[in-house]
Amino acid sequence: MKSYIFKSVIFGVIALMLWSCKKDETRVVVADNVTAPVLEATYDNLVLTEDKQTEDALQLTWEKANYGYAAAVSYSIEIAKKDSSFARVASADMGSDNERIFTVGDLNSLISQLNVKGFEENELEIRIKADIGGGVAPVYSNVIPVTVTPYEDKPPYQTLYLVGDATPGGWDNGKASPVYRDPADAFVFTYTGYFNAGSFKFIAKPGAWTPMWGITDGKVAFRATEADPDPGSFSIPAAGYYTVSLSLKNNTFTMQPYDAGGKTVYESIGIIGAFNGWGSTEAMTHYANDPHNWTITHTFTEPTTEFKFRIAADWSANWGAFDKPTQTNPYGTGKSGGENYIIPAGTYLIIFNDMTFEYVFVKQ
Amino acid sequence: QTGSISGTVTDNKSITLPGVSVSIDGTNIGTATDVNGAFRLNGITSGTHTITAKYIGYGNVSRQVTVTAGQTANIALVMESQAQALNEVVVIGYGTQQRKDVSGSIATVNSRDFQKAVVSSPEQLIAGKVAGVSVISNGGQPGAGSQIRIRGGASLSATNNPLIVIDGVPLSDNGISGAANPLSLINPNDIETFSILKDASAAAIYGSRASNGVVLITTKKGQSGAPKINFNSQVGVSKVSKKVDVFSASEFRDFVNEHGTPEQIALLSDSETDWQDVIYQTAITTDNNINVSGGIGKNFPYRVSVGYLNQDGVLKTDNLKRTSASVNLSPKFFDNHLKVNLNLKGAINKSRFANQGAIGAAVSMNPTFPIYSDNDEFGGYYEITKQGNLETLAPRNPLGLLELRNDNSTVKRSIGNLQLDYSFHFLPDLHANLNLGYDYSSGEGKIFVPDYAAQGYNRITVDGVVHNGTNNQYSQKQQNRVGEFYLSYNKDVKSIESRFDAVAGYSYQIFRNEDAPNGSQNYGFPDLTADNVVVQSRLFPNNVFQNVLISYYGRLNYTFKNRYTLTATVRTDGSSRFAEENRWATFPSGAFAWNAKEESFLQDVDAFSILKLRVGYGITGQQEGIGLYDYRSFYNLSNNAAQYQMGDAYYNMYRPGGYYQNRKWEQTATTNVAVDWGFFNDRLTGTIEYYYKKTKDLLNEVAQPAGTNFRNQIVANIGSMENKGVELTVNSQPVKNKDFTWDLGVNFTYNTNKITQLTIAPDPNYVGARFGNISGGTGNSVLINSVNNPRGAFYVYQQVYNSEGKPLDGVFVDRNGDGIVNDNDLYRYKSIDPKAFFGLSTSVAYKKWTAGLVLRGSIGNYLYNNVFSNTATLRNIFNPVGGYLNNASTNLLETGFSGAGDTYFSSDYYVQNASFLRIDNINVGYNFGKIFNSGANLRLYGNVQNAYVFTKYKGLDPEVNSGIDNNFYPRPRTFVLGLNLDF
Amino acid sequence: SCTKDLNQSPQNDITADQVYSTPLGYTQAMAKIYGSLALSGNEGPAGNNDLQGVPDEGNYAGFLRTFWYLQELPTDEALIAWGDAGLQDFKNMNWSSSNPAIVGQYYRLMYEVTLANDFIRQSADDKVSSRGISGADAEKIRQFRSEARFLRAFAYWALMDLFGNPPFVTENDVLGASLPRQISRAELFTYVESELKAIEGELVDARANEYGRADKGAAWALLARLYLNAKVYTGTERYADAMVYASKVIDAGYTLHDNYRELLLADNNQQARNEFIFTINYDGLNTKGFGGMTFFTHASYGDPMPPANDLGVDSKWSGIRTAPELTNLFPDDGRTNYDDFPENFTDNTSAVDKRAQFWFQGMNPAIPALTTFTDGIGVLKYRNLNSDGSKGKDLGHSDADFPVFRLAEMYLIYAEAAVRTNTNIGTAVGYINLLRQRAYGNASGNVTSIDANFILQERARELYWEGVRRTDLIRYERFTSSNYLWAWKGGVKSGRETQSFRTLYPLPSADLTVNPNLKQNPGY
Ligand SMILES: [Ca+2]
Ligand SMILES: [Ca+2]
Repeated sequence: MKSYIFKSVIFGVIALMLWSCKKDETRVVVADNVTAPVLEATYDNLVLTEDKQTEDALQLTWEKANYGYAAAVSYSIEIAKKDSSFARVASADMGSDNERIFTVGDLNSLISQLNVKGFEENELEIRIKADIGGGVAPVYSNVIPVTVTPYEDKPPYQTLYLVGDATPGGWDNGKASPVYRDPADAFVFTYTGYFNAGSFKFIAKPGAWTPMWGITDGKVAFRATEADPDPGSFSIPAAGYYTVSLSLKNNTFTMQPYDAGGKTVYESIGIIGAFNGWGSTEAMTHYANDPHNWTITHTFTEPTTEFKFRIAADWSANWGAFDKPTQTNPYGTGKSGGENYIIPAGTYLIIFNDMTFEYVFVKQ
Repeated sequence: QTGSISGTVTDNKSITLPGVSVSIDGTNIGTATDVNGAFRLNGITSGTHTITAKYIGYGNVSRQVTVTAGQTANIALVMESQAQALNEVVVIGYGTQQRKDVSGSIATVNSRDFQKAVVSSPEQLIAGKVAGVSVISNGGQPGAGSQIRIRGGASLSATNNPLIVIDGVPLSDNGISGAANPLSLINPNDIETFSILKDASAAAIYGSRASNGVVLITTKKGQSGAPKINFNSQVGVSKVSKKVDVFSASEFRDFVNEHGTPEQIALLSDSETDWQDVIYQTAITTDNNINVSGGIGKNFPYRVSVGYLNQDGVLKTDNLKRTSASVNLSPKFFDNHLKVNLNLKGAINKSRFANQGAIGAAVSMNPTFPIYSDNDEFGGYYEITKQGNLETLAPRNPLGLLELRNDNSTVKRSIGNLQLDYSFHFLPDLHANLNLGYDYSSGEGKIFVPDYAAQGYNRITVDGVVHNGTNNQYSQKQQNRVGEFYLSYNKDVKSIESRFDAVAGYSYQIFRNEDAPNGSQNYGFPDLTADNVVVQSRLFPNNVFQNVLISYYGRLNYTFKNRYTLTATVRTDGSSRFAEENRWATFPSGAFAWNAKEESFLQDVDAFSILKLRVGYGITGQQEGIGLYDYRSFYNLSNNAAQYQMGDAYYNMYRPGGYYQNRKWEQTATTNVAVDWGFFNDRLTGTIEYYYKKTKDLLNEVAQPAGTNFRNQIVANIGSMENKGVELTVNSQPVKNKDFTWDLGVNFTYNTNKITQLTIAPDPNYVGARFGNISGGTGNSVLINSVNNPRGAFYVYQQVYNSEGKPLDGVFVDRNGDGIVNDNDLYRYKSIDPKAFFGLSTSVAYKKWTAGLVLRGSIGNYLYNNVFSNTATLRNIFNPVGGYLNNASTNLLETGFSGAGDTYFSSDYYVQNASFLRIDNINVGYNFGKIFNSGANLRLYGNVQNAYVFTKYKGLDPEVNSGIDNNFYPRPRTFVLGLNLDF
Repeated sequence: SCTKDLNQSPQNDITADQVYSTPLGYTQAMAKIYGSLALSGNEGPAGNNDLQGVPDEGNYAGFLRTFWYLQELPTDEALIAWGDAGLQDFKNMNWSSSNPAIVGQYYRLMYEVTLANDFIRQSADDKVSSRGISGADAEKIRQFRSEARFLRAFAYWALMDLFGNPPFVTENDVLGASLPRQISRAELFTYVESELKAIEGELVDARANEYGRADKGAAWALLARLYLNAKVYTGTERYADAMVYASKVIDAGYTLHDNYRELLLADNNQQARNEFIFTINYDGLNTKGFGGMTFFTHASYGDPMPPANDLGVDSKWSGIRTAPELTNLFPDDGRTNYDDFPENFTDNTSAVDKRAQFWFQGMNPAIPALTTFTDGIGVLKYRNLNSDGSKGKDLGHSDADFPVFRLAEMYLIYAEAAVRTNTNIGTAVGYINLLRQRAYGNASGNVTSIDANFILQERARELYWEGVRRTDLIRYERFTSSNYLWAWKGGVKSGRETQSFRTLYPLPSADLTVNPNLKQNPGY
């Protein structure tokens, strides 16, 4: 009996030690097969227009993903061009939400990241990405295709350039001539000047053939990259002054003859301002057969510089900004006299039309 | 008409017993046996006398002797060793008692049962020895203290430390500047017994300070007879047994090359430095003690001892030198009516404290850097610079931290008491006892860091000149005094089979602490640079803290028919810490013991040698660990670095202090039920005890309604908590014969702790009080005290793993299902305190050989691995401050955690099971017996301390008192060789 | 017996009666009410914390640092890289009622109220005279008393702005006698307004008090700020009153310091004091802490910025930086590189708008991660350097003072109120152009017309990182709404709309537990 009791004591100690090592922690493990979110979309039409920015456009709802435990899942909406395999996406992080109502404005600004074409139909795809972080691969919902017509609020170009045998620089795209812009509509590019009989196109980057705008089958055609077909040219039936105008919003082109008769032809026009102590003008040049469109490239070094256009002789003819609020605008229609332009430091290509008082400062 | 009695006293193995008290019943005639176990009593009136021999650890033996005038009667007395038996004399509060009359829960550990080890602090002698008592050292520093917890502790914010009483002098709970631990000034070799009062019945006589138990330490006394000399010398060799697992230089290089940027890769160097090897050393300890005890004449026993300990730390530059001396005189006067007991103990500790910042720096310092630079800057230690300046946020050179900081202290402590016990001639059963005691200590220290040391870089700029280094000092004086007077009356009334033992007394204690620190307070010594430029001056030279405790107490012990014992105690305490209306409190207790073995129906049942039931209930109090004065508002003047500018002048700011007028005593009600049992003539004995402790009016730091006090949290009596537990103690002697004995003792404690209330009214929305700050980020904490949970639960996020078992960085369970993970998803997971702990001590003796083993273990305790969480991230290696790389725990290879944000700190992944089994001590000894024909007895022994730890815990050591394992000073493994000479 | 020994008192700390027995004692108690806005406790730089239970004193217990966290971190102006408890919650807008910075700010402000209440009680005329203080000393204490009321009004304003409906105690409530009641935001508005108007006449004239102490100008400035935001606080606009009080300050003789970049340097108490209306004062030797200016001048630096010593500090904490939403408000050449600051960081010739003090070099403005210091744009607005380029007194702790109110804000308040009421536009444009002329160094940045949106932008340009942004965005209804998204708003990179209840912070759960009179703000 004695040894029985002593053995019991020793056994008890060993049992305690085993107890002390028993596994008592349970671990939460991410499921091998995560149930992906299921997406539904509700909308009437997805023709987005600027005037309806605040109206609802698209409602997305999704069922939450199931990771096999109470997970804090971060959802994001991903939109990509059709058949792009979501290689490039516009995304909106939704945190733990499972619904998003896009207004027209929200949706437009989101998909604008995809370089969609404004004012025409784009085939897009939407899906939901579910992510818990920690290096766990995200899971994706079903894909819903949509067709969206977005708007743009301004074109991504400081100005366009004319190239072609009708223009001063001919077909040399390194000598393309810059055009003016309509201060009332940022999408409208316009030019009033002397054209030869012949043809021309618009390009966006001097020295490059794309982006390019021409005309095909009577409609304005856009060539985004070299891979796109080359559109036809606009034609000038007879030499003379014309106003040509291209709207990138409506994809419309207009051409009007312009009556330059009676317009004063100035000997020399230049820029004058704080950079040269308001002393004498720095001369601009005009095209050989067009004495009304003046250009200069100038570097301003001060943080801001005030200047005006003026004839070389004196202040009898000078031009400036239309009013104080437009003093700092980089393009517009000025007036005789007018306010000083205010321009930040930098190198600019400056063009000025002494008939229409249009001007553009293109930062180089 | 008189004759003599002479004789010898031996044990049952015919070994003579010196120092046995031999007396003639009904007289004051008595003596003690000499070194050969012989005694002689002269001048005995002829007739028949009963002579009784008494010796601690042995049953009393009485024999009748007939003395004939002019003759000497010879007798031989044989005493039976009864180490576990009920006749053992037990030290209790204000007196002693025979074990059989004890009704409360009192555990005793005698010197022969102490851990056989070189320890610098006495409490470590009883680690693992007593059920319900956990003693966990604070780390491997020489002289480090320990956390002592009796039955889980009864408090939350207030202290959970037990009251410690040495030879009748209750110690204050304060530390002393310059000593890692005030108990390290007590030489463990001078201690005879520890008596641990665990339940209220035993402890309530100490009233207001007894909630967390009482440890009574009794030092060794003189034995009358010829002088006996004992010399003990031991030498220990300590080594770190485990280092933090960090990247080696080559692993680190590979990792950085694989994951770093070119700029980060460029921060690697070519050396191979194991910084932990650099800071740790093989440390030598020597400990020499000599003591002499004997008697001058018949009635004047004395004991004198001197000790010298010289202990190096395993962390370089750590050293403790203790010189100690003690004197005990216990003469008797006036026919033994006046017994005097004088104890004087003194010690001087001289310490050099290593800069423990080196431990963390050695983990973090880039292992591809060399130890020394090839120039004189920073004393020649390689330091991390950026753009020509020291990078102050980078780790300092760990060896430079150690060797360029001279942090020395000298601490003196003396504890003494004079106890006068007078039994009245007209009524010898009535004793008057006067005890006057003191505990004085003084500590002073100096800290010097030279001006070229990186750790003292850029301390102040005066007139464009930068001053570096430190030349600081501090001092502290503690003067605690106690005066006690009690009357005791002890009467055996045979006619009614009753024994009475009554005590009534008064006690006055004053604790005075005069502190002149080198801190940031507004008092103390100025903060100086190495060249004595004042970084910060102080307003006051020092501060004096003083508190007083006045008590009245009484105890009545009544035993009927030798088997029914009733004990009642009461104590009334008044403390200067409380407002007048709450100052006084009364703490009663009562207990009943039934010694069933004495019942006629069991007396002849041989299976049981002991069977005793004990039941007790009592209320104890607690007032330590709280402010001394803040029942009133006192205005504190800010220090000189916290002045405010108005106009062109700077003003020190007067701040009204928070106060809590209604603060009162914390109270713990303890119920104790126990059975003591013994079998086989006490070869197998034990105790099983159940206790239930409920603390109410917890002295707990709780929120104050904003706008109602000058503190937003203050210690108030709010909350309650309970501890329940079972303790099991088994002692046995499985083998016992002439040549071979085997002793085995096991103790086991199961304790559960639950907080039952933390707010005035129950509030389900109250999550609890968070604490347990960790390193990493700032202000991240991982522990919580909350209702219906154990104290010190971890409050963490639930980690999510992938199917391979790898924790996913920053992925946690959204426990409340609101889709995000934030504070509201934290949950209570495990806790610091073990569910159970146990100790096993065993020893064998074969002829002249002895061997022993002590195991200690704990179950269900968890630790937060802050070394992992703070260092095992990419962000730690490639820290965002830039310009240097930190080394990391190799746990990074398991988790790959980035270290971004603050949530990963709170992952339950870092809460690890720290259950363990530790082989605390293995010892072997050989007794050569008499040598040199001189009567000198030689014993040689060797032992291994902290031999091995079995644990699943992944960090350095599973025993960390705070529950948060960060830069822990490793407990070394120590090999000791010793010799013991008696002559 | 010796039971009288149970009465014990501390040696160095003294009772209220002892403190308030001398004029110096009153001054030192008043210093605490001011100093409680600067420091976290009674020991510099840390220790003896005024607050309990905040997990780190330097981070969470001081007024200015946590105020800044609450006002700037959730907005477009600031990001923080650290893993300190709760700090990432602000940008994520998912803070809880136990967020330590929120808890710290709340208790700090209530502590300020409690300190002020105590002083106001102790400085009542009868108390002062009963202590035998009279004459000029008594008059000074009377001024202190008004200043204590101002500081209490300021604390209540901040509580109203951040927490809406805090507990309410005044000097008439006996300390600890009863649980404070909760006051509604609108009612508290009325209280703060009435207090400021009540002391308006008692305070020292504007610019006539000792430096660092509140005067009439401070009260007017707080009233102007109060009225500007009245619609948020009460539902009723008070823009006309805002103009009245902004004008009182403007007309009191304050002047803009000519160099914007010297406003927040170490010697700003000398250089810029004519612009400062009310300041929180720091000093590298005498007023040390880890909140406030020490925080700004360390946490906003990291690699790849210049060496710490060149910035006047001992280390770079690599914590806070800003986002393009702020830097884009400046002309795009307002970028700062080390080469632009060859001498002493006081000038940057290439920046058009000198208020732009940003560090772009080596930083990633795309902000791929919140917790990486180099993701974002550095801000060098706060520096522990003197205007002559020399370093502050102590590299560990900044000397610079924090302007709670400065003249520029009054101009902006006036202009915004003018625009919103369409009155005195000309004067308003003139005030704005004073700021822009200082910023540009000449008239080139002047404007001719202003609208509300422009003012919000101008406030960011002028006052960024000065602790007003959250209040501004709420007033413009852009804080939680989808009207305005910024990088990482709501914790997602592209920003998102967040819960509208987050325009108010929650009351700490700890106070709700002990004060059943309090109801949590909705949503929490
Ligand atoms: Ca949650
Ligand atoms: Ca200052």
